[in-house]
Amino acid sequence: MNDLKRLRTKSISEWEEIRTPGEPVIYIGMASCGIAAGAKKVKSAIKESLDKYNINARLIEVGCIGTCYLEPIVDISANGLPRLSFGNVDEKRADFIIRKLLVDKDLSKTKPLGHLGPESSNGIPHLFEQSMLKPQVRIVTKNCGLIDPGNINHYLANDGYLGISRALEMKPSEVIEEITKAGLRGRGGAGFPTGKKWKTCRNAKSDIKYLICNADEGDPGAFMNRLLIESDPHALLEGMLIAAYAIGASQAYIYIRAEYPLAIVRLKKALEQAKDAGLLGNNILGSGFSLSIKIKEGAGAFVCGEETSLIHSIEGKRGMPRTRPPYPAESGLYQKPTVINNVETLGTAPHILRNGAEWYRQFGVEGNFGTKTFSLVGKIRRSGLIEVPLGTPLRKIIYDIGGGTLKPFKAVQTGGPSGGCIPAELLDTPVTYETLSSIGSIMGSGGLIVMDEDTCVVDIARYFLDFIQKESCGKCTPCRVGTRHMVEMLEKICTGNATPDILDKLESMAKLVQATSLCGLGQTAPNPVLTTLRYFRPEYIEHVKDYYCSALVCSKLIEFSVIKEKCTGCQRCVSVCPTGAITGPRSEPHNLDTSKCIKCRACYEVCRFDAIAGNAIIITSRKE
Amino acid sequence: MEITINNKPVKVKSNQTVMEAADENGIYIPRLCAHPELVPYGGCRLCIVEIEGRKGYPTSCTTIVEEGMIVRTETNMIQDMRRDLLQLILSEHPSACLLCQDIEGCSMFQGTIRKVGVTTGCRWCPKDKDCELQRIVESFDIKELTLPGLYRDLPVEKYDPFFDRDYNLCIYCGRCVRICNEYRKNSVIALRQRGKYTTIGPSFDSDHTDAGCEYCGACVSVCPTGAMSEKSRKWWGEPDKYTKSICPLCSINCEIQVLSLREKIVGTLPPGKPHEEAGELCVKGRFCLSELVNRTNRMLEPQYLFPEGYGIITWKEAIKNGGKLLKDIPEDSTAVFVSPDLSLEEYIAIAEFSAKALKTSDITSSCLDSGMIAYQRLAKKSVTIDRVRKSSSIFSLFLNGNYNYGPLTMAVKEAAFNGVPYYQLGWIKDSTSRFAEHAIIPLPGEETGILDDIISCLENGKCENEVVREISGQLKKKNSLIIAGPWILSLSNSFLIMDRIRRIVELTGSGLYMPDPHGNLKGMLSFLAVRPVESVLDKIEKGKIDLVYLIGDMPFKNRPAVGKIVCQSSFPFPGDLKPDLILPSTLWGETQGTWPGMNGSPVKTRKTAKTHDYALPHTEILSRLATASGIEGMKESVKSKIRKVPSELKPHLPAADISIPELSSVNKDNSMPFVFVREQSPNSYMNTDLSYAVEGLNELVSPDHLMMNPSDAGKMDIEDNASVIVSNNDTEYTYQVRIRKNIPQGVVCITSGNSESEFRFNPCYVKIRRPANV
Repeated sequence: MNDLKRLRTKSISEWEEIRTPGEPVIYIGMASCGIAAGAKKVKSAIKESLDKYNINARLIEVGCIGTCYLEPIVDISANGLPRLSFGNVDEKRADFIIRKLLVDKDLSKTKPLGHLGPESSNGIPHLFEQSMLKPQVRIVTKNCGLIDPGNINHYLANDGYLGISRALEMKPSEVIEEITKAGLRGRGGAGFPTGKKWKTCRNAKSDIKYLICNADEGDPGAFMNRLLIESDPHALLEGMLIAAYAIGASQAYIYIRAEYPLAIVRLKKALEQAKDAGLLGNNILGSGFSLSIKIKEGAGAFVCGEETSLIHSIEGKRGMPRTRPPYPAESGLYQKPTVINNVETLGTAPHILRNGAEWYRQFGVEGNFGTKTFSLVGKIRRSGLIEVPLGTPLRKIIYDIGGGTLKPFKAVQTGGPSGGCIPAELLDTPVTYETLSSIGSIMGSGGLIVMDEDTCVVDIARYFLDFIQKESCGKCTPCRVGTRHMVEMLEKICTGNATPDILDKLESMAKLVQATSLCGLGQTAPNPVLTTLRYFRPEYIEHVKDYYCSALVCSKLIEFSVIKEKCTGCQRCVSVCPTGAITGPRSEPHNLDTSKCIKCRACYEVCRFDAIAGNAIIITSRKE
Repeated sequence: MEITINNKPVKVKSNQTVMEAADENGIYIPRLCAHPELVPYGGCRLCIVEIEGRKGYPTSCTTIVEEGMIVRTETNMIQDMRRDLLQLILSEHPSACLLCQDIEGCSMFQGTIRKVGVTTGCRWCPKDKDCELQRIVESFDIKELTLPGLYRDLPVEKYDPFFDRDYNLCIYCGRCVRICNEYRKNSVIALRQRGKYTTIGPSFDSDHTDAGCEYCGACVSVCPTGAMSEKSRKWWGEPDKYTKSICPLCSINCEIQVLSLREKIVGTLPPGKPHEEAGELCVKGRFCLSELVNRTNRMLEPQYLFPEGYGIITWKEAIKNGGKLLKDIPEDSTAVFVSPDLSLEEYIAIAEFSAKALKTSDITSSCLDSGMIAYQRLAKKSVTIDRVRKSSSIFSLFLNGNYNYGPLTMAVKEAAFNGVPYYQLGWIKDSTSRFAEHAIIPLPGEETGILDDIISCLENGKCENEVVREISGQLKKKNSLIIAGPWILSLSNSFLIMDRIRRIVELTGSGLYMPDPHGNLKGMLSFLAVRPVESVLDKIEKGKIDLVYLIGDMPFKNRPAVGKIVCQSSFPFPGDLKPDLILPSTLWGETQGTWPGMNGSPVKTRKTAKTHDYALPHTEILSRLATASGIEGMKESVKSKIRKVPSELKPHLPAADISIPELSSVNKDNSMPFVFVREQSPNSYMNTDLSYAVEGLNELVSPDHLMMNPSDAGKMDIEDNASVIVSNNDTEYTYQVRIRKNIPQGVVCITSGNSESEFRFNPCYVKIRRPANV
């Protein structure tokens, strides 16, 4: 313990030093989202600029703060000013900011997003006053985007590993009590009371117990776990220490999908650093408790996010689920009692242990305490990763935090391929496990895909169902064959080949698959279809009876044409058309041959947005 | 414990599943993936039930009973869902006839339409009337398909021996994968890909043989549909009789049941319910036996060598001619060669016949040389298969478990899977090899050397290396076991090896299990006073024998210099033997017989098929000949002796010259990088060999081919079936190569029915090159 105290004191002074540094400190957001936006190039540009202006500055890579629509994000601490955050920084803007701030020492025209303390300055608001950040309650994501994920000292300086220190002073059963009192529920999707799961495992009689962290995160559109591991991996490790101590496990696994290479790299580094600091391995902090953590990479199967399939995958077998009972907490990995928790569930544990169950219960609502991270994506103005207390109404998330949609809102899809589409009428629904399932959807791992009038819900249902069919493991008849038939039916609907009774057939197949499938994948596969049928049935009927896609998405039901009066004859569309369907000489109205048109929308987009073009291309759908 | 099923209280045991409880109480629950020998799977979903207090529809095969549980198995909701699930299955499984309204009238005209390349419906399917899916759909009275057909259009897999695979009919019950993994522990096949692309087969698109398939037929037995079908009885239809019997192809004498149709043997299965018993048979007992019995080249009519050539004669004439040959035959001028694969009755008859009609004591068998006598001396100590399973450790020497000794390899795998340390010494990998702590591939000389090292370690604690120390340590423990195989007899140092085994058993008290590839050597040695074959062949060479009488045995390469030869067997003899009298006999399934059995006490088998044309049982032929040569009452005498067959057989071994020769070995030579080892084929039966006579086994065993590892072949640019020249300092031979994954690198191996060894030492070092003009 004393070694840790010494290390922490050192870390705190290191952290204080960079908060008010002598030389400038430049932070660059380098999680996968930032890198995708160009952060690596920005980093090189910054280095070049520093060289150019002959400035010595420290560069620190941080994770993602969650305002992904503003990536690449660069923060600078310099000139005795508080740390300032800048968004949408490309190479040119990076050079501009460095020149202005570090050479000219002049903030004007740099447009900082806000400051991160310690004191306010120059009328610049605190970063967290931003509309996207202000309503959030950032518990799990507390350090994301602020600290260097590759430096354990940053974590230690920010209350890191205080949770496990406190836990080690309690009895394991007391730790479980605390988690139970806090009302923490599994954040992977099912919302099962975490304390209850840990208690079942603790009480199971076995010499060996295992802890598994489920970092498979297969839902399309969800990246909560990825962001946490890339930005603050030690939060996960501390959570695993607490969980393993509580249940009595000395061997843990992190099952992480292979499609997260950056997260794996950062996790491995964090493991090394934790081991060196005596926080992993034998006799942790002199308590007698030992834990070793192994990383097991997935191999691309969505079904391996299901707990029994995940266990089989770790055992080296085919990732196929088995019936439950027995539940993993009684008989799991190698038939030993095993607790499987989501990354976010484990990432919450240190905060509860540090601040107490009572503190945690002040957030959220009865039965749904605490906060939840959501990936707010799709047709939303401000997309990214957010954390809000449970019970927050959907409307607040989409409009106050997300800034609403550009075009009229249509629906929000929650819970990924296992969830459902929620229409505008239900936006006042508070986000809790029970309310979401009462309206036909689920919380899931936290994906929130926002759709506007340009989204066809039938196409969305088809997309999710197609995903599920491709990921079905093939073991049980209803999921393997039933989803195949449902995809076929939806394809028929989307291509105008449906018979009038197809909606009834679709619904009854959906109910069969839901009732008889072996695991959660099959049981929840029909949800997108069932909710869209429930709330958007007219849209389905339009597809079936009128061959009409109101969102103008289903390619077999739409047609592109040129309004001759508006066409400026600029030939922009001719140059982008991949099949030569649009033809026409310069300065004369163009012709579109529908038989060659593949509905790729290239002409439509260019005619809409190009300055010279006349916005002359329209999409229509048949309606009888 | 008591639960309620469909309002009926039933008594159950605490660890039972709801399905087991229902089965035991006569309540039927439909199922396709559940199987009594396999861990419950829960894949087909047909067995769903309603359980009060539990949400949803749990599968009864995976749910363990609890006190007071209330179960409903046939509510309207459940039956509707079962019908819908069957519709899902039928949308992928071609089922033309199953739901056709013309079924009644059509079946009158269908005859043998079954023989098709692609199955589109029940009448065209090899499993028609024997299909579990068909039975369930018929019981649900489904009248039409409500879903569009989404047939898979997969090519039918016909390129492997013994069984075809038509995965268009597969319903993914997973029984084949599970029986191969959990029960037979070979792990050859798995579910591959996922979603609508799910298929079943070996991983990474390997073929079955390379993936280690033993062709044990367990998957074929448990498949509920026509996806797996046996080639040899594919279109025969349902058998009309199932008779218990035993397999006569090796000393284990597995219990089998013979399937016959109109008194003709169409196939063999393990005992028990056909779809439920996966069995422990090897490919020979499971598939080859029925093919062998029905071979078209069987000798079926008596023949006599007239001056003009062979002529077919009646039995009357045959017996008359035979009687003439035997009448007044001088004493001790006949040599009798007997097959080790006959029944006890036949050996008793031969004993009588040889004594009274042939007046000779020169009785032997071509397999009974001094090597085999020494082997049988050791094998007397053999324990039971059950004891193999319960060993504390197992050390297996020179046992080729490929395509042989099913129950033995299964007992080894079961023990090893449960943690029993297993060590293997030999040159070929079989299905047990992956369970071995150490699989030792001995260089020439080491096959004896290792045993000497072990003895030295046991006697005075001087252990040559860690492996020797470990094995010796295990052998010293109580209930350790040594398994030795007849491959020993093909090695140059066979006597030394057998002596070392004897010594190790002496030092450790280890159990011993030594199978041999003959169906009834034990019986022969219990009822016939036999001589070592060398002594009889010597007598023939010295001109002291006038008549050679062959009963299912063929010890000669060419016709020996004797006066007359009589051949009594089921299979033809080579052309240059030119016997004077040919008497066709029946085979094992065509008469009743008594055999040693698997567990020590003799087993009686019944006649399962009609005698082939004019072949007669051995006992009948010998008794008629005896009468014709003036000996009366042989039949009665034999009958009374058969009644007195003891419950435990006591084989009596002849004295033989078993002097232990000097160790023969060869020095390692860097110019000769390969180890060449030959194995006498363990597949002989009567005077034929299954690996030559049965096409499928010929493909698997590839006798007379040089078996080579793929990596070695690849490095030398050698393809399958290419010719290579194998040479050492004395001589060279040309062989055709067969590339096999189960041959270790640096080793080349030959299995042959011909016992002559091309190289002086077996094993020896050789070098290999490709012929010049390639």
